[in-house]
Amino acid sequence: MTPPLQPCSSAALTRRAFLGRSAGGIGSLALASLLNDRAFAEQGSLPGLHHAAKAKRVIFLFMAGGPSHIDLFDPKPKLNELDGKAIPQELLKDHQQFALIRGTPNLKGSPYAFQHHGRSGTVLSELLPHLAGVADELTVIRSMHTDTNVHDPGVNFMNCGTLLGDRPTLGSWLSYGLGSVNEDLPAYIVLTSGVSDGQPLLQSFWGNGFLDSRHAGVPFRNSGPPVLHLDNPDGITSGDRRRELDLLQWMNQRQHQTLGDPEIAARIASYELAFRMQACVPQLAELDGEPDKILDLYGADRVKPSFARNCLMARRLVERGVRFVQLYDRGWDSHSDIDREHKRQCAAADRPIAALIADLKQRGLLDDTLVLWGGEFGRTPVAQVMGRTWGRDHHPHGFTMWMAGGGMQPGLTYGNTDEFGYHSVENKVHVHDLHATILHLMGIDHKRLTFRSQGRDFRLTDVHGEVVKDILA
Amino acid sequence: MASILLAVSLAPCTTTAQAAVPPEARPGEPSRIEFNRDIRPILSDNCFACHGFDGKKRKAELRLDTPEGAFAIRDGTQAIKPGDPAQSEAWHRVASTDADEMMPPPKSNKQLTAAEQLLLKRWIEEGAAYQPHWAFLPPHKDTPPEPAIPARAANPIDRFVQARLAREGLAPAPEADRLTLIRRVTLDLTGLPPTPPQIKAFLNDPAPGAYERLVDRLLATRDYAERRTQDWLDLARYADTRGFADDRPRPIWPYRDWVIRALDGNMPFDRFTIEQLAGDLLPAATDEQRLATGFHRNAPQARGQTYPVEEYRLKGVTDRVNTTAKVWLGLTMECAECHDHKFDPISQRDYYSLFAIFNNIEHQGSGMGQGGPTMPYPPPPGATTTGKPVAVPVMRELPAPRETFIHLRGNFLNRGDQVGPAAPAVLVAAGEPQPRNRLDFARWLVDGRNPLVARVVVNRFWQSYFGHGLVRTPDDFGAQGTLPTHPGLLDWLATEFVESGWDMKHINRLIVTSATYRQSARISAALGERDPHNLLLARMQRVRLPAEQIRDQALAISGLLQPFTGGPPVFPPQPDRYWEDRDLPGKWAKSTGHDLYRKSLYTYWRRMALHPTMELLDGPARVVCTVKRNLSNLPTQALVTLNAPVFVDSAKHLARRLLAEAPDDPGLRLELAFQLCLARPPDATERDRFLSFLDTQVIRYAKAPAPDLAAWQSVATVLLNLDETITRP
Repeated sequence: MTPPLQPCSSAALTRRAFLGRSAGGIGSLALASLLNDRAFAEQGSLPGLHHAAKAKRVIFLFMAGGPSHIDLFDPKPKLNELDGKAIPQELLKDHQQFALIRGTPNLKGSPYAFQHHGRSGTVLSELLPHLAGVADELTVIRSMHTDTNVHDPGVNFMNCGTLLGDRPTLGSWLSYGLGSVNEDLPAYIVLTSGVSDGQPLLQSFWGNGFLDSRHAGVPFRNSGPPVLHLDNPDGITSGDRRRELDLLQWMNQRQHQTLGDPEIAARIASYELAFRMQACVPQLAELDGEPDKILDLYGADRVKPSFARNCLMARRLVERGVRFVQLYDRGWDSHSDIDREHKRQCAAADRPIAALIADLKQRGLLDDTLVLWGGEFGRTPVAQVMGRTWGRDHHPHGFTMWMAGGGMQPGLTYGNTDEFGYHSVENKVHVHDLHATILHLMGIDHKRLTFRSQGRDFRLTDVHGEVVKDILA
Repeated sequence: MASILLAVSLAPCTTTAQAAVPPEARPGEPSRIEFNRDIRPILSDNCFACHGFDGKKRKAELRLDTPEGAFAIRDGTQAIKPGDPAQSEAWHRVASTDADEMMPPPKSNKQLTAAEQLLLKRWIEEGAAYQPHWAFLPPHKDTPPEPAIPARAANPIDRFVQARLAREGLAPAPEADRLTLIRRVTLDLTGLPPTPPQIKAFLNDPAPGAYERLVDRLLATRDYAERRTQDWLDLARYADTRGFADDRPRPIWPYRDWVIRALDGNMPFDRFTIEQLAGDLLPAATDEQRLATGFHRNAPQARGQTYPVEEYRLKGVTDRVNTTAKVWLGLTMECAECHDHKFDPISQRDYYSLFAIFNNIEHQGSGMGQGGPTMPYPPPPGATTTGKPVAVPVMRELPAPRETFIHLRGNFLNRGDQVGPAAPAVLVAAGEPQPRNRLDFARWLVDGRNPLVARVVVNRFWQSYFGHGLVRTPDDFGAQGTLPTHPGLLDWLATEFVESGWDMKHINRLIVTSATYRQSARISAALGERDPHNLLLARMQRVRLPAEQIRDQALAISGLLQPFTGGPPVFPPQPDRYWEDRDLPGKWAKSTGHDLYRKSLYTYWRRMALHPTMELLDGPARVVCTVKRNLSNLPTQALVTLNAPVFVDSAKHLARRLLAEAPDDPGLRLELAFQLCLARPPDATERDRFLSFLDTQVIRYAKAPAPDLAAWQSVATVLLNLDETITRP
């Protein structure tokens, strides 16, 4: 059972007040219906779901830079055994050169201990002690593979199924297909955190491509107010703004009556949503009403930006019905000192992720919220030696992602890489397959969610993608 | 690696916006089935992916895109037997309900509707006549039809539009009132609102031809050139940075100023084309002509640190090919980067032959500061630069051409046949000489015989005024693009363009002086139902202003706008740490003084982080050629025009202006405010409502230092945010 959505109560009140004021003056039926509760939630392009949905919303925890599957989820005894030996030549057949490594590198085992956890016996590295506590909720896919070992194209690929950032992203497709259920917030919100490793976050990572730009992800800023220009100018109170808007909307409604242009009605709705966001977003951002014990669970500070705070924000957003929340956590691109960098990243991410899953579960939200974890690729089973430290290079041929909640089979570990963790070999899952599966969980047949642009029908999975049925609950 | 980029979707067809209104038949032709209008779209959507131009993907060795393929007798059967559906295997398969033989096959998720099946049958019965794709045939200048309503036919455009409306049983909308007209045409031609004296002059000109005189005055302004430059820069993917992750500055603004000068002088489009594509190769090329070649130096260019240098050089060439094809030919050439085009007769060989034309440019993609060939450009007097000449990126041809190979599946490491320079075969008549270099190619584009170029260009002009082109897919004139809503009109404009000596102002003038352009934009319930997308042009289309014009208009209304033309880009305020938060290098060089309020055309255009005012209002990042912008309607945009500093400044200055310029009378001040923002006076109801709002605000701000100013700023905020204000009427 899904708990009722958390309203932004002050905004709801204001809307009723606005409707009350408008009714006497204008009485435009079209606008009255436009301004009722249902119409504020955008309708999707699909007339109905293709099949019953298991998940209603998605939280995508994106570990930007590429986390190491070898050191976190996919232990390789053979690799440990051959540590320091040159990489077998047969592994290098038919594949692109390494991104940065030149010459023939040596195999590098993982220095970290792995253990079975929970009733499911899910295997996790010692770097993820908190995640171990929710091991039975995870569906770990060890056989992911993608098409590039370069960052920006890789992130584009994981989001829009193409290397160039010119297509709609997963969240845009969902917003386009399913619409929004929240009246006070956008359907697709992006949060960012982490340390800079020289890889900027590009607009295309949450872009709408050829879809209408109301389906673009709205990046919330990680410090200060989450949305630009949310604050009224100095000296203008919310009451002042409401009075201005009443006059503005009165004018817009007259214009709409005179000209009959539906864009005017949409503009009226936009301005009302903007006003409600002004009330709702700061309240979200201030974490009002979160008890200390919840903040402690996540390890989040009320004000200070962090991945932990974003995880808590993500829960608050899905609780309010936001369809797609994507968290970018930067700093996983460990070329030169993986021990230091991956420990730092895990220390910042492990606890809040476990907290997020536990918190969603205790609120009854995990059943229909899909949590997805991964980066644009994994890291090489060979070392990139940089002086006295070492790291791993970008690796697209086999890596791990995991999912939880929303119709996934919990406690399952699926697929395998070869004994070196190099190539995905068993039950391979390509990024297109992942996309098909996510859409499937949301009640969408990935072949039937299309948009015509430049003379042909586009879809998220292009001409590819198979739903991975074996991992569904 | 790139092969998956461009593979063609087998997803089912969605209905297009065109569905409600059938495409137009040419006047004078009998109402028989016409291949291009009636049949090609059906075959293209349903059959060509497997039975079309792409030989590699062809199934059963059957092609239906040519009569030779469709009529061939194989094993005693014919896919299509002209005149005889019963003996046509294709018809048999399409009509079948047996899952094993029906076409398209069930797994394709495609199916012909009953109406489409009927059309196909009739076409076969009538002899299955094929036609080459319409856009590859030369435009034909029909005599404009006799006007249905002569009094409302200002020029030939209206005669085509009226003829179509008459056939549909519709009449054009009445002419918009004069106040709407002057605001409409001034915003469209100059990007700025009309001033009260301009409005007064127009209203007080009772002589015939007042509107045409207004248009001529506007066409002669520098503002007109700047406004058209904005559209061209979207096509030219002009930006002030190089793109990719490091996104370093690129001092290419002198090219932007070249465009302004060229358009201000109404340079003929053939010369405009040749100088930008190949000015460096002209005999005794002048500095201006070399500067023009900055057009193709706008391609994004990587620093090339972690990527193979050659791969990223080739990305630049690919971008030049794709951009050229989009801007001049209206073709989605990029589909042929990895395989033969599925829908259009463009082979992968064609693609790489065009590639060969653009493959001989000096390039240094690796290492900091090595940006390829440049030319020195004197800094503008008084500019706050170092006073040293600017090194502007331009094109320079290598003495000996590079070898060009087909890249199998788009992978540059996977070389196929070597190819020489050539234009796409379908566009070159047999026996005609092939263009062999950039200059040849540029001249070939605009020799007046290319069937696409003039159509594609006039279609974009149309789009700038009506919100949509006559071909609604301005970047795809191929088989998968939409058919023109008014083919006769498109062809008439295209041939008129060439015959006028490629006179751009002439075509723009024709469009905005047409009665079609001057119609009211009101959408009656009946018309909204009948033609929601305005395909028939029975009314004018309101269009939300582009990002630049929303900001520029607010500055102009408030009196803040600074009218200087050209020069280095400026840095109006953006939120603190905007780049730093995204980990982008560089620092926003906050402008001061006049530069705070220059036209948005001059705002520093950073590809990886556009100024948020531009970005939020749908300004394109210009990473690639943009033929048509998004026009969205988002809450985050409302927050920009309500709260962003430049709009708050504008509201404040507008309030000051009202207090300073109008007599001390609320009613007269309101009149001025309405004139400035909407080019019209308030009606009595509006007047009452605004004045009572003003009274409330004066009381509300009674304790403020300047209650009047605060109250008027509130009025100004409302006016600057009206849908009416930010929409071109």
